[in-house]
Amino acid sequence: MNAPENQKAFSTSQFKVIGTRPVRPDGVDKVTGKAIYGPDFVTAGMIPGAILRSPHAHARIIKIDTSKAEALPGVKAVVTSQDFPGQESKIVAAGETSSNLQHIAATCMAHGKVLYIGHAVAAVAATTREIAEAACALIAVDYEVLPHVIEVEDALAEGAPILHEGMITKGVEPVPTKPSNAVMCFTMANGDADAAIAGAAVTASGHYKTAPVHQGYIEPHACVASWNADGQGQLWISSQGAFDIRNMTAGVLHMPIGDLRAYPLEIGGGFGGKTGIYLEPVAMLLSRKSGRPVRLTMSREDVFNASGPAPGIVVDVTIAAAADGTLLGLKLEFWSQAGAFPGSGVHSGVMTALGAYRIADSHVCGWDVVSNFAGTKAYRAPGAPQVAFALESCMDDLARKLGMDAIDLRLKNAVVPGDPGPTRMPHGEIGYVECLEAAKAHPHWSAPLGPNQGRGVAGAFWGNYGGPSTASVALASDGSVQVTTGSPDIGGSRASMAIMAAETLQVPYASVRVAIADTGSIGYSMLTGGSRVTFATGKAVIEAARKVAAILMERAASLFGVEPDAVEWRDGAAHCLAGERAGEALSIGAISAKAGLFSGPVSAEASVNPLDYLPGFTVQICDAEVDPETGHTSIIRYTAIQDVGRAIHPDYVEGQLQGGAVQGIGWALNEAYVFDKDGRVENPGFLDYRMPVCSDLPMIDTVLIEKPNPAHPYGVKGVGESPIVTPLAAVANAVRDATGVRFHDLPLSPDRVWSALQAAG
Amino acid sequence: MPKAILLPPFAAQWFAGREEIIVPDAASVFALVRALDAQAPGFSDKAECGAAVAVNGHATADWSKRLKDADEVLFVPKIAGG
Repeated sequence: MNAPENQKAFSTSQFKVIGTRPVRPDGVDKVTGKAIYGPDFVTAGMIPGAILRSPHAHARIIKIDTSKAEALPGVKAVVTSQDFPGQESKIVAAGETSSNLQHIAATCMAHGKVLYIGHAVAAVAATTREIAEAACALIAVDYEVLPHVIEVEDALAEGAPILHEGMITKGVEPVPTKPSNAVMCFTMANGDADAAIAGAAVTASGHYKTAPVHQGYIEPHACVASWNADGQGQLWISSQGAFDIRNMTAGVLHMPIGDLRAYPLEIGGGFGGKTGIYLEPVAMLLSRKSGRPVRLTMSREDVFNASGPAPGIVVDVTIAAAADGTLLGLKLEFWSQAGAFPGSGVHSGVMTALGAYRIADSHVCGWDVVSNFAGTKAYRAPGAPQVAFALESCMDDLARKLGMDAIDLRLKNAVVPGDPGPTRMPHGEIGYVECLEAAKAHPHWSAPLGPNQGRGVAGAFWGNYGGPSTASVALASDGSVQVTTGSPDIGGSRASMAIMAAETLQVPYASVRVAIADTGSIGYSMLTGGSRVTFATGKAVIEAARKVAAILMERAASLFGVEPDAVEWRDGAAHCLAGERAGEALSIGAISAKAGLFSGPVSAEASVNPLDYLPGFTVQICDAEVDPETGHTSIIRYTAIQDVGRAIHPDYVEGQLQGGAVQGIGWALNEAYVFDKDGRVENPGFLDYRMPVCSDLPMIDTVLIEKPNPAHPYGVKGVGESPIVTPLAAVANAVRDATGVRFHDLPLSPDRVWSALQAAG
Repeated sequence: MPKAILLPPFAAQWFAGREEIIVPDAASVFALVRALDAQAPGFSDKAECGAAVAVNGHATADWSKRLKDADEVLFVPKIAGG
């Protein structure tokens, strides 16, 4: 086998398949339109549904009258919160962390109060979509409209309307006695940050602000649900994790988990936004009432109004250094705009502030604050880009004050293996220094700039994750390899799993096929998120493939008539090392064909729960040109550098770096939820919510730094999230360099930039 | 005797700010958590859902892991990814 236990034993040149760039196995279906996404799925007898959503940002529901809707010909079922089982406040595991089941249920259907415009109030299933929508219009809802809040400053103001009555802020002493919209405060402190800052030669400070932004996945949320008369149900879903969606849905509906089977469909983008549930319990209840499978699909407007964006944030930061650039102190406090329900990546925001640099004295604290828009969801490195925007902008200011090169300042203070990480655990084989050195040596860093152009750089830490995964590897009678996992393929995991299985078994990539199984066909895998699948599910695939190789060698030994230790697995075949048949080989196909002479077909399953993942580090360089007449910013050159561990399929890894950079550039320049005075999102569509397109951007150059993770058989580190942590600051620093003006608020829209340039004269 | 090291928010919310607690005779992470739960009822449920655990600086998902006398068991909040 080609996956040594000891990482030190291999180099890239040992690999035959890893590091190659084969054609993606799902590519043809996806570019020809044959792939089945959530809104495409159809099953026998299926009827459509529609959802009635709140027109108010904050209101008490006094009464819902569904009688006219139920009387409309063609209507098969009407559902309100009364159809949901009562829900106690209960913390349940949900993906990588945990959530309150009461909040999960209330995200699917308002219970007693609506908390944002677009909050689901009732749902209808009917013979046509038009009838279902007409029936929704016949549902009469009496509201007592309440004052609402959107911005964190307003949500925390004295006398602010309280979203969740009785919610007492956690994490502060003394424990407050009055309810608040502040859910919790999370603080990590080390030493005396105030004293360090007071005694430092140089400091830089700022008050920064970003707005909520959407993940911008192309495919809207959709599902088909069927709840049989015998109590068993099926869900066909487009999500980042069929198992976790099933578990949450069963939890909300008080179903035994085993009675609900979830089938993953192709997913048209998620970026963290498809880790929770919105439609599934509603569709299940409509199905149970109607006796028919029911499909619910969000419109684009629904997606913007009623599914979770990333939080906006307000940050106060001060960073201090000695005259030689040694960082001495950091004080950073931020308030995260969680939307209607608690949980907005505050922990990871705090870790991001502490993860990249050695700073002896620090005090970092983050507040989770609810307000009246859809509850936020994860968005690629949740909580990190906003904090990194403030911190890395401040680092840029500090470098200017010190008269130091911006990369040199970071190099002087960058964490190295063995340094304590943000949770005090020592960093493993991390590669931040290597990324910074590559950035400094890159031609981009020293290229000349033209008029109105500027260059910025930013670096970042992101924690990544591992967690539970299950995989199986089975051989057909011709030796072709079937890999099955429970991890939805968002970023190319079919290809990376096939490559790792092919490398382990030493067979051609083309002989390995990968399927994404439903929840009834394989053991649990945590959702596709946290940059975990190539690492964790990859470990399961490698372990299962090793088991298969062991079976093959044992069977080959029987066929050769030798002991198993006289057989070596090499080049996809068992080689006999002793006896009369020494030098002979039996291919994987030859051994598989004789399965009928042994105890059964060749297959193996592996379940893993690895937490020996390593964080990701990234450095990005941005060149921007600012038009002084219009305030419009053009990105003219961009380079993304990242420690990727080992690039299993370099095309996909480069694609992750490019995609993260592009999303972050959009966040920096254009994207923001715009609310009117009533709390309504004024730009709930891609025409007005302006994401970057190809014609807006230059080619994003990539540099892959390969510093393998010793804990993974092939050295994998997560790569999917880190590249979005840096662009906000890299772009802002480039605009600062081009204009001489430090911008503290995002996005850097032309009107904001133009106004600041005018004010600066 | 194994030592529990409790980072925020666990120390403040469950143990009156005590960041380090010696737990005699804790043979495994499970046993250590049970002992802590006896001091702060409810901690076990919170830890099961919301804590990441590291033994002597190495993250572990296996709470049945045997502990030795001088082991340090770190509790930090789980971090979500996207």
